Amino acid sequence: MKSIHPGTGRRQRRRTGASMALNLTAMIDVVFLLLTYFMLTMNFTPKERAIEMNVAMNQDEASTMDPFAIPEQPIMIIVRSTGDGADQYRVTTDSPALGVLQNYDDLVIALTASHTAGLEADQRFVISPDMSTRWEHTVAAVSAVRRGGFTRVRMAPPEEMLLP
Amino acid sequence: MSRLYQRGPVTVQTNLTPLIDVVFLLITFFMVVAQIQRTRLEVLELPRLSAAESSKASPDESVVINVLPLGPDGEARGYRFGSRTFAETPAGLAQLVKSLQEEGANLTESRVLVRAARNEMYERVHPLLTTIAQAGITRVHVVTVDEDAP
Repeated sequence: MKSIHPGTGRRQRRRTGASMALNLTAMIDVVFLLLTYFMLTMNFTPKERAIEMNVAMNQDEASTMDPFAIPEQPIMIIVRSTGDGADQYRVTTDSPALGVLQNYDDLVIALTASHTAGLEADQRFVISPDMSTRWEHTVAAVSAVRRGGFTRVRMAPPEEMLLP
Repeated sequence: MSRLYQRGPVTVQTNLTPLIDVVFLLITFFMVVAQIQRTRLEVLELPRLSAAESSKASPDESVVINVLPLGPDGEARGYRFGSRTFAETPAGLAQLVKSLQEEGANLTESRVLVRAARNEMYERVHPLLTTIAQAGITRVHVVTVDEDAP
């Protein structure tokens, strides 16, 4: 309620009613503690990606295959690690159509070109690492085949495991 | 005038105790959830590759199998599937096949993610891939990290 002050003639507010005080100090304390905790414990991990690959040894493909069809020969991609670096590897193939390869970029280019050279889109590929091939080099081969436009890719057992 | 107004101004205070209780409960909850998530996803240096021809690896919709890195003395630590660890022995791999087959109904609806460190040798990953095939799974997803990621 407002009234007029007798001396100044100004309107003044009469102090009546309840004073509402909200003590936020404790809440802010807790919020800052939480902020500190999460900032210290947060781990910025990069987003993970997944590359699809076959693992079955073609039993499912054999059962659906036309009995009169000529068996399709998979293209073998042989991968060997030559060092611990990401680019220290050697890649070769048993297909003359893909030519001599220096790295996985060459493989992608050769595979992309092979679509026009007559290679079918459902051509099968087998990645053949040895026992000491690093996983990053093996997965890079799978990725290169997929980037080259082919999806039917699987990994072969290391040659050492096949020896009697 | 009633007795209520004779008491003077009323001070209203908020009781923060339940709020703090809830906040601490939330902290505990998130710490436990983070611990469970960490069990499924072993901390590994994954292969860095181009993001082309790969899809987003979402552990919530997938079955995750980790190739555990070698121990400090070079000893094999096996494979982790969920919260269970399986040895790299014929018996351990047979148990892993059994566990994967028990998950059968879930496996048809979700993807199988294989996580291995970039410096892992193929001789340690191949037995796992063979085991997965023996469990009746025909396709897996190998997990990588985008090469452009920080």
